[in-house]
Amino acid sequence: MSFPNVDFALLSPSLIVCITALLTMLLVPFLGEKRQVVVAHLSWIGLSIALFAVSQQIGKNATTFGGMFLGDDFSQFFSGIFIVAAMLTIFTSIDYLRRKENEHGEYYPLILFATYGMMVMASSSNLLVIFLGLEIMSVSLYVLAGFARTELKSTEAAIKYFLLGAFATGFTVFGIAFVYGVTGTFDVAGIINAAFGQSNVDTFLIIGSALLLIGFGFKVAAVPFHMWAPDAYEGAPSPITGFMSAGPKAAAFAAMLRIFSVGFGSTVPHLQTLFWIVAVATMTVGNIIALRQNNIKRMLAFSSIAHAGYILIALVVGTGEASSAAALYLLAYALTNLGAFMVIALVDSGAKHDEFTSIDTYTGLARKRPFLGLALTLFMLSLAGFPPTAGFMGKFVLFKAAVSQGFYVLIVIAVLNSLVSVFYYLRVVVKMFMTEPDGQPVEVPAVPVFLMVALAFAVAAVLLIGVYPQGWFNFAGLSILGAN
Amino acid sequence: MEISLAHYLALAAILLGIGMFGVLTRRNAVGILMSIELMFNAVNINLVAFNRYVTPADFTGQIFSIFVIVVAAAEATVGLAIVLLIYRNFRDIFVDNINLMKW
Amino acid sequence: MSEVGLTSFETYFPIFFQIVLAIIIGVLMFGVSAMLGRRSKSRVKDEAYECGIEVTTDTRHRFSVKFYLVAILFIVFDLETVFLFPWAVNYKQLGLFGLVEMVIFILILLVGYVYIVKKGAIKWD
Repeated sequence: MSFPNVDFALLSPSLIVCITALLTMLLVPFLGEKRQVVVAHLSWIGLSIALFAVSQQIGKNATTFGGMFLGDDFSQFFSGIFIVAAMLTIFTSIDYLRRKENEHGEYYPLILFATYGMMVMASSSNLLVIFLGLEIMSVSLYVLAGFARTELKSTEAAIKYFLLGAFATGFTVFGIAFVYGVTGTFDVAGIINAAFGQSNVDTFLIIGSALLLIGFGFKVAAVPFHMWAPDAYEGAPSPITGFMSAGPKAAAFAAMLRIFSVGFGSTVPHLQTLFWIVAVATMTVGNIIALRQNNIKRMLAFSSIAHAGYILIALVVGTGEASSAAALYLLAYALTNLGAFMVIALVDSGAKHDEFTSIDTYTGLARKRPFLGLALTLFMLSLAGFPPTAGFMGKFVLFKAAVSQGFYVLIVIAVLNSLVSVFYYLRVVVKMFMTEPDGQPVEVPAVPVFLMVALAFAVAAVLLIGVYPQGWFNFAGLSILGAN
Repeated sequence: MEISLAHYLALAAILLGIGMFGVLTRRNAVGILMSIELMFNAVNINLVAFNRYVTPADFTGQIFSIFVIVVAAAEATVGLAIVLLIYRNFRDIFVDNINLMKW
Repeated sequence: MSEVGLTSFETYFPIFFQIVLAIIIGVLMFGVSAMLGRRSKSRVKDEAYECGIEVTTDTRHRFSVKFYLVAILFIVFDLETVFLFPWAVNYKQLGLFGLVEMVIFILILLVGYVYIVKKGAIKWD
C-alpha cells in the first residue's frame, strides 16, 4: 500500500498552528491557575515559527492533497495576515485578561484554532475544505466572543453571534449543495468548467451562488446581513473584537475572492449587479449609523461594516488588479484596526467589570498620555483614509483599480462615504485632545511590555505601508497572479 | 409513482423552510438551535440525493454530508454550552429578553 | 441530470402492507380489551403507581447541569466516530495509510479527552 505524496513543507504553516493549538490546549489543565500565562507565551512562539514557515513557502505556488490544498502566494499572503493578527491579539490579551481576572489558558488555543481555520479557508478552492475552515474558525470565535463568562454583555454577544452565524452556515452549505448538484464537483475550477459557456445557466447554479453570497455576506457583515455585528463586537472582550474585525473578515473575503472573483463572476449573470448594490448599501448604512454611536466598540463595528462595503468593490470589479488591491486593503485594515483595539483594550481594562468603552472616556486622553493618544490618532486617520497611512494606500489602490475599469459612479459613492466617515473618526481624535471633563477622570493603566511591542509594531506597519506601499502591493499582486 | 431527484429536493426544501420558519419565529434559544439543525439535515438530504443522481460513481456528496453532520454536532455543542451560560447569567433563555445592547 | 428508475408502487407495497397490518393489530387489541375487560374506578386507580414507591416530589424536576455537560460531551465524541465508519468499510483498500490516518485522528480526539478528564468535566460529585 503506497502512501499518497503529501507536500508537508507546503502544509507546514497551518500544521504548526494546529499542533501548537493542540499542545497548548493539552497543557492548560496541567498548569496551575497562576501559571496560565505560559500558554500565551507558547502560543505566540508557535505563531512566530509558523510565520517563518510561511516566509519559506512564498513563491512555491504548489498544491497538495490532490489539489485540495493550495499553497500559492495568495494563501501565503493571507496566512501572514492571520498569523500577525493572532500574535497582536495575544500580545494585547495577556495583560487584558489579567486585569479582568479572567485568566483562563483556553483563550489562546481558541485563538490558534480560529487562525488555523482561517488559514485552511484561504488555502483552498475546494468548497468542502473552505466550509471546514469556515466552521473551525466560526466555532472557535463563538466561544471567544463569550469568553468573559460572568459578563452579561459578553454572553449576549456570544448567543447572538452563534445563532446568526449558524443560521448563515445553513445557507452556505445549502448553496454548496446546489452548486454541487448542478456541476457534480466541489472544486471551483471544476465548477467553472462545468458551467462556463453553456447557453442557459442552470437555475440551481444561480440559486446556489445566491445562497453562498448570503452565507458569506453574513460572515463579512454585509448589509442586509449585518445585524449581528454591532452586538457581537460590542459585547465580546475588546482584544477579541479587534481579532474578529481583522482575521475572520480577511478570511471570508479571501474565500469570496477565490469563489466569486475568479470563479462565478463570469458564469452567473447579474452577480456583478448584485455585488454593486450590496457594496453601496453596506458602505452607506455602515457609515451613516456609525455617525450616531457613543460606544467606541460599537462605532468601530459599524465602521467595519462600512469597510466591508469598500472591499466588496473588488468583487464588483472582478479583475486581478482589484483582487490584489483588496488583499492590500485587508492587510492595512487588519493592522490599523488591531492597533486601535490595543488602545481600546488598554483603556477598557482600567475597570475590572464595567466597560470603559464610551467615547467620552477618551476625553483628554491625548493630554494625559500623549503616546497613546498619538497612536490612536494615527489609527483613526488610517481608518478614515488620510495619507500617509496604510488606510489611504488601501483605498487608493482599490479605487484606482475600479476607476480603470470604468466604475465611476461606484467610486464617487465610495469617496463620498469616506468623507462622511471622517466625521466619526475625527470625533474620537477631537475628544482625546480636549480638556478633561469635571467628572471623575478614567484611570488608564500603564502600558505593559508586550502591548508596547505590539503597539509599536502596528504603528510602524501602518506608517510603512502608507509611505512605501509598492513592495506590499507587488506581493499582493503576485499572490493573486498565482491564484489564477 | 417514481421517486425522482425532484422529490428529494422538494423534501429538502420543505425541511429547510420549516427550519427557517423555526429560526425566525421561535423565541426559545434551544428551539432556534433545533431549527438550525433541521436546516443542516435538509442540506444532508440534498447532498446525498445529488450524489445518488448526479455523480453515482463517486462519494463526494456523501462524504460532504458526513462533514456536515459532524460540524452540526460541534455547533450544537458550542450552542448548548452558550445557552447554558445564558441561562446562568440571565435566568432566561428567551432571546427577546436577552437584549442589553440596542442601537 | 440522470434519472435512475428505482422505485414503483410494487417496491413500496410491502411497507404499505406492513403499516396497514400494524394498524389493524393495534386497533384489534385495544378494541378487544375494551370490550371484554371490566372497568372499576377508585382513587387508588388514579395514582401514578398502583404498586411501588409513593411519589414524593413533583415529576417536573430540574436536572442538574452535570447531565447537560455529559450530554454535550457525548454528542461530540459520539459523532466524531462517524468518520470511523467509512474507514472501517474500506479498511482493506486503505491499508496501512488508512490506519495511520485514523491513529492521528484518534490521537486528536484523545487530546480533547485528556483535556476534559483533567479539567474534571466528567467527575461526578
